[in-house]
Amino acid sequence: MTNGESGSKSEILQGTLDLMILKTLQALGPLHGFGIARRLEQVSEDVLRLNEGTVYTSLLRLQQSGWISSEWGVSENNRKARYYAITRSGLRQLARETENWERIAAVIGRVLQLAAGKQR
Amino acid sequence: MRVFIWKLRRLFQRGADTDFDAEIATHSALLAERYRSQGMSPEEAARAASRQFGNTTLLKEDRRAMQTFPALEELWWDVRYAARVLKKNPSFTAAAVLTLALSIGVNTAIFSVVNGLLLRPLSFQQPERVMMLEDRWLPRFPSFETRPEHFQAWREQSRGFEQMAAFASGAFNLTADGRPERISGARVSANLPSLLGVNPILGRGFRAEDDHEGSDRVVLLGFSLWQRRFGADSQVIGRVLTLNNLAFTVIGVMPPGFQFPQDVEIWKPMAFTAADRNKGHFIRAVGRLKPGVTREQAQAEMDLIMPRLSPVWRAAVIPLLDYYVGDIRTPLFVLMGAAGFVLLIACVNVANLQLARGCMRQKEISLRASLGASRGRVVRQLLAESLVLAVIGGALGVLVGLAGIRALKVFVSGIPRLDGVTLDTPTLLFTMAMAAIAGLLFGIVPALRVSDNGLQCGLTTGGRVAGAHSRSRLRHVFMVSEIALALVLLTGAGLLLKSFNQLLKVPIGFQPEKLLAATINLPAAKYREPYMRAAFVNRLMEKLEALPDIRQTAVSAGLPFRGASDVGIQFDRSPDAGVAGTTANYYAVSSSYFKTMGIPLIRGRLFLERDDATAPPVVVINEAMAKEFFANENPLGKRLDIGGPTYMRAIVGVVGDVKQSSLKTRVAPQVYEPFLQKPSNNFLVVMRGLGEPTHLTEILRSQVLAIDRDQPVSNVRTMEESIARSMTQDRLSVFVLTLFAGLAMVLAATGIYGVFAYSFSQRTHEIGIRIALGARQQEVLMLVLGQCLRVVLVAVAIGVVVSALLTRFMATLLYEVKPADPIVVAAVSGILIAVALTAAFGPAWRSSRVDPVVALKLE
Repeated sequence: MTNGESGSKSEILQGTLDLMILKTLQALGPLHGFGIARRLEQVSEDVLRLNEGTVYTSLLRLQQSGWISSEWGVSENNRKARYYAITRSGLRQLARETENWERIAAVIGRVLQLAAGKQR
Repeated sequence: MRVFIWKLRRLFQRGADTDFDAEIATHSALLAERYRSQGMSPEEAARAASRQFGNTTLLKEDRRAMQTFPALEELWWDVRYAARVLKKNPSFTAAAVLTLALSIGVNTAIFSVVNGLLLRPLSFQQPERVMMLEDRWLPRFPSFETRPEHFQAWREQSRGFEQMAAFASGAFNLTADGRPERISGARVSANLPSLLGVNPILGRGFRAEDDHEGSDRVVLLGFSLWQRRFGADSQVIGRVLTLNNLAFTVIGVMPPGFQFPQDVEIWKPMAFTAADRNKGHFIRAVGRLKPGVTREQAQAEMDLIMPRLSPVWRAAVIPLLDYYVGDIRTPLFVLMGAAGFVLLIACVNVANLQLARGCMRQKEISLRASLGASRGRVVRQLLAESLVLAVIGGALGVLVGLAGIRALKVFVSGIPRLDGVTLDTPTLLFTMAMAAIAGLLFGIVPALRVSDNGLQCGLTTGGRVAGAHSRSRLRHVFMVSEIALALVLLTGAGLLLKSFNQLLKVPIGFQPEKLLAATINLPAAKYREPYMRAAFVNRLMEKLEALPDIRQTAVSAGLPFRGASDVGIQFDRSPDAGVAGTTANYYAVSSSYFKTMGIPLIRGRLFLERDDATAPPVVVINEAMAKEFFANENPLGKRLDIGGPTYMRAIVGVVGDVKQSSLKTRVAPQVYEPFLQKPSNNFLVVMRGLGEPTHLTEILRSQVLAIDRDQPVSNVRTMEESIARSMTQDRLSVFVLTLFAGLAMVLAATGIYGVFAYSFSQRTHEIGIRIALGARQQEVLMLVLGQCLRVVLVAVAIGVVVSALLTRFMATLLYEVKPADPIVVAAVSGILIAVALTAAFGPAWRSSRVDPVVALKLE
C-alpha cells in the first residue's frame, strides 16, 4: 500500500533526508519527530511527501553516528515524546555535508543546463 | 565502529522497542489531532494519520536490523533449526554424538595428563630457574647422587647460580604415644625452602646456624603429617619429637602440597658431618639460576669445575621439571598423537554419516534453494548442525575425559605429579577448541558436497543423480583414510604389546612369586655398634624361622626392584694384569638370602652361618662380573675391595645375574657381602610363606615389636608388585594405546559398514540386472566383495607406509622390537582386512540376495 504510493512522491535520497533533519535541528533547536516532520512538510511546501515514519529511521541512523542526541520530554498536548538535538560532531557533519551538497548540486545543475541547451 | 558499540550497548538495553512504540503513538496522536482540527471525524483522522505515518511493522524491522547483529541472529536461528532436525533423527544423532564424545573424551583425558605432567608449572617460585644438579659418569651412570665435596665446590665456585642447596632423602622412625611410625623425610640445606620460594605457614624456617652439626636438632613438619599425627595443632611449635631415637624440636609447618623431594613429610637441616665425607655419593642438589643465566651457561660452568674434582665424574644441570617427567615425555606425546588419530577417524565417520543423511535430505535442501536460499546459506545451515553435534559431543566428551582421568589414576601409579592431574581450565579450553575444530572438519566437506548436489538436482524425485558417483568416490576416500588411520594405531599398539610381552619374558634372575619384602631402619643412635645390628638381625631370623607360616626368610641391604647402592670395586691385582676396578650393585645379605630369592649358584659356594664378623671376609659375585673381569681365569680365591680402600675380601662363589631396577637394562656387575660381616642400619626382610601378604606382614610386625617395641616396619610390598611398578610406564602406554586402537577399529568397522551398505543400496538396480541376466548369487557376492577388497587393500597399503613413517617416533618405547616389525605389520594388516571384509559382508550378502523383479521395479 505504502509502496504503491511512493511512486507518486519524489524519491528522496537517504542521505538527503539525514541532511535535512540535521539542518532542521540546527536551525530550530531540539524537536521531537512530529515537529521535524511538520518542519519538513512546511519547508518543502508539500513537494516532498514522505511516510513520516522514515524520519525515525533517519533519526536512529544519525543517533548511531553520534550526530544527534536525544532525551525524553513532554509534547505540547502532554504526551511522552523524545526530543532530538544536534551535537557538536553533528554540526561539523552538517557543515561538511552542506558543502558537499552545494558542490554536487552545482555540478548537476551545470550538467542539466548543458543538456537542456543542446536540446534547444 | 561507533555503530558496532551502539549495537552492543543495545543488546543489554531492555525496553528499546516499547520506547519506540511510545514515540509512534505520540506522533500518530499528534497527526490525528491535526486532522480532527481540520474537521475530520476521529476515525477518518486516525486512518489518515496512519496513512501518513506509513507501515510501522516495516519500520520496526528496519530499526531492528539497524540495532542488532543480523548475522548473529541468523546463526541462532540456524542452531535452533539444527537442534530440531537432530532431534528428529535420534539414531543418527546418537551415533554421531557417541562417536564424538568417545574420541573427544580420550583426547581430553590424554591432554589433561600432558597438561598436568608436562605443561603445568611446578608450584615453586619461578620454577623454570630451578635446576637439579647431580653427578654423572657416562655411559653407566647417567643420573647419580653427588658427594658433599662436589656440592661444596659447586656452591663456592659457580657464578651462575643465585643459591644452591643439597638434600638427601631418608626416613625417620617417629616414636610418639606408643605408635612407632616410619616417615619419609629429608636432610636439606637450611636455604632449601627459601631457594624454592616456599615459607612455613606456622613457625619459622631453618636458619643458617641450624645447618651445623650439633645445632641441627630441629625439624619442619609437612602439612599432611601435621594434620595426621598432630591434629593440626598450632601449639606443635616447640614440641620435642623422638626421631630415630634422637630428640628434635619442631620449629615450623610447611604449606599444604609442598613436597621436595617427592613424598617427603619431614625436614631436618643437612648439617654435614665428618662421617658424611666418607659416605661418597649420597646427596643431590638444586640450584636457582641467576636471572638471565641459561641452563647451558650453568652446564658449561660446571663442566669447567668438575675436572678439577674428579677424573671421571661430570655434573649434570637438569631443569627440575625435566628431572621429574623427562622419561614420560615421549610416551605421552605418542599417546597424544594416537588420541589425535582417534579423533580424526571419528571425524571421518561422522562426515560419512552426514553425507549419507545428506542424500536423504536432498529434497529439503532443493526446496530451500528454490525458495531463495543461497548456497552459502545452505552450507551455513548444514554447518550449524555440525556445530551443534560438536558442542554436544564435546560436553559429553568432558565427562568421558573425567572418567578416563579417574581410570588412569586407578590403573597407573608411581608417576610423579599424576595426583595433580585434573580437568582444569587449560584442559577445558583445549576440549572446546578440539570440538570446534572437529565440527568444522566433519562438517565442511559434506556440507559443501550436499549443498552442491542439492542445488543442482533440483526437485526431481527418484532418478539417478549425477552427483551420486562423485559422492560415492568421496565416501571411498573417507573409508580408505579411516582404514589407514586405524592401521597406524593398530600397528603402534601391536608393537607396544609385542614389546611388553618380550619384557614379561625377560629372565629376572630370581623367583618373585609369593615373596614379600619390608624395610627396617634401625636408628643409628640406638644401634650404634655393628654387633648390635647383627644381634637384632640374628634374633629376628631365629624368631621368624621358628614360625610354621614362614617357609623362607632372609635379610638384605639392597634388593632388586627396591633399590641397591652402587659401590666402587677395586681388584687385588697389578694394574697391567687387567682392569683394576669397576662399579657394582651392592648387597649385604644373610646366608639364607640366595635360597629365599631363588638365585642359582654357578660355582664355588654360598655364604654360611659361620661367615660372621670373626671369620675371614668373603664375597660372592655375579656371573656378569665374573665374565667381564675373570674371563680366562677362575675368579674363586681372587680378592677385591669394596668402596675402599678398606680391606680385601676373597671371592668364594659366583651366582646368577639378577635384574636390579628395570627389566630393560643390562645387568651390571653385582657383589654380595655377608650381612654379619657388614651389618647395615637399613635393610629389608624378605619372606616367603603361607597365607596372605597382610597376614605375613602382621607376623613380621609383631616379631619386630617383640624385639624392640619402638621399631617400625615400613614399605611392605610383594616382590611382584615392585616389579610391576618398574613397568608402570610401559603398562600405561600399552593399556592406553591398545584401548585407542580398539576404539579406532570399532569406529573404522562401523564406517566401513556404513559406506558399503550405502553404496550397495545404490547399486541394487545394477545387481538386479546382473541376477536377471543369470549371475548366480555366489558370483555376485564374490564380485562385490572383490571390489571391497580392492579398496581395503589400497587403504592397508597406505596405512603401512604411514605407520612406517610414524612408528619411528616410538622406537625408544620399544624393547627388543624394531619399529617396522614385519610380524606385527602383517598381523595388524590381516586383522584389519578381516574386520573390513566382515563389516562389508553383511551389506554384500543382502545385495546378492536381491530379488531382480523388486530391484528393477524400483525405477
